[in-house]
Amino acid sequence: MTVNTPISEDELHAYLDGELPDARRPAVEAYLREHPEDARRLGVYRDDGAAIKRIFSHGVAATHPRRPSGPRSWRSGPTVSRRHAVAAALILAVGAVAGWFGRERINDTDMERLAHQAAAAHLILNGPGVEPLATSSLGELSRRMSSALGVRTELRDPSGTGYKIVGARIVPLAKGRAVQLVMRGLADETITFYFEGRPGAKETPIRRIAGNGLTTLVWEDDDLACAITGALEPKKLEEVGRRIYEALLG
Amino acid sequence: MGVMAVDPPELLEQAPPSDASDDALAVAIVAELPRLRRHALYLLYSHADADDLVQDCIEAALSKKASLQDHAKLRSWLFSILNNLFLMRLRSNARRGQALPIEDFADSLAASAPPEDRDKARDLARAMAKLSVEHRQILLLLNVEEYGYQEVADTLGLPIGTVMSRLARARRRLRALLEGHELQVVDGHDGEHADQ
Repeated sequence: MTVNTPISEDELHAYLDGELPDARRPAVEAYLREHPEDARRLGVYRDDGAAIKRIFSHGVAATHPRRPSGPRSWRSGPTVSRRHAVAAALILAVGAVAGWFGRERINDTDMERLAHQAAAAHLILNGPGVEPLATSSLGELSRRMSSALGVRTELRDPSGTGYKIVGARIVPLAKGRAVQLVMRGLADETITFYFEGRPGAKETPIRRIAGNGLTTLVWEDDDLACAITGALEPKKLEEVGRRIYEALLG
Repeated sequence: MGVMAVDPPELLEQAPPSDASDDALAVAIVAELPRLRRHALYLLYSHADADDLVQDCIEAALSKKASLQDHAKLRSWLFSILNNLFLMRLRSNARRGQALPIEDFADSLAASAPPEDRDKARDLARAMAKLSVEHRQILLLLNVEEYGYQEVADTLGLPIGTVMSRLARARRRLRALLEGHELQVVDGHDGEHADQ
């Protein structure tokens, strides 16, 4: 290998990234000794990469903005913190749904999709910041929900059940939108409701999807497809979910 | 709407326990969520949009988990889904004329950085946002996720030669932006024809 062996720009970058085949390293190193301007340039690229790694790797957790306490948009609706409680639920949510569908226990593909999406929506609730909807009235929530689902809804305060609405979120779908409501119980337990508009739908029985400690229930009601997910025992979630649903939309 | 009080629900099925392989996949997917959220955030510069993108990614992953042939490649598989969804969203946003909230995000990133890095963080956030999405993706995967060339190629569905040439171009353009040279980016592809 000689100093004059042609060295490509790609090889210089591969050398910088430790991706260069060993056989080419002597040639590149010789080239860089003879071309200090390229050596300096690689050094600058290395420093830029290190800065990206240092700043972008460590900034993400701290930069999640706390929601302001004043009015905020529906679109940027709250995420639920409860990192530790939800973390366990996240694991179970995927496992529960995957396990259930793996056994093909739900044949209705649309309800399967609904359950997938409800579980996924639950999965995403690992952001920081539990913040009540301080300025969003139930009337405003109802209006937004009706608009998103294309179905007129009129929410009522479910707090008599021991659960409060602490978050809401519009979920864009390939076709249409869904609405997720996040509920918090007296013991700080979190459950999520997930709704899609389903004009013409009639009441169906509730189907239960459960794994080791987390349950998703899916059903249809008049003009709605619904799912509820929570880290409660299946029977408990079924009882609680029905109670909240009646209070909320009954 | 006429949502009525619900009669006592009929329980159709007793739920089976999830099997071990599904549980293992679940644990693995959950372990990747912080990385997915971080990557989405730096693609979109918006926490809310990043959350939506990751949610879509998880939905898609759950829906087609059977297509994951090799669980050792879960991360690349998830990142590939996320990046594809991001590009779809980007095209949709472009049609709606949406732009990255660069300054807000630059301020946020700077505020989270140590004092000695704040100016650098702000400059980097601005410069990265001005890169083409292809260049931003590759710099993030390489530097933040610490991917090797082959992993980047697998994730982005590119030949490794394209990854290498794109990386060289991305570094050069980032450096130019950091030195204050504005670059013309056409259709977000940034000279992609020369990558092949």
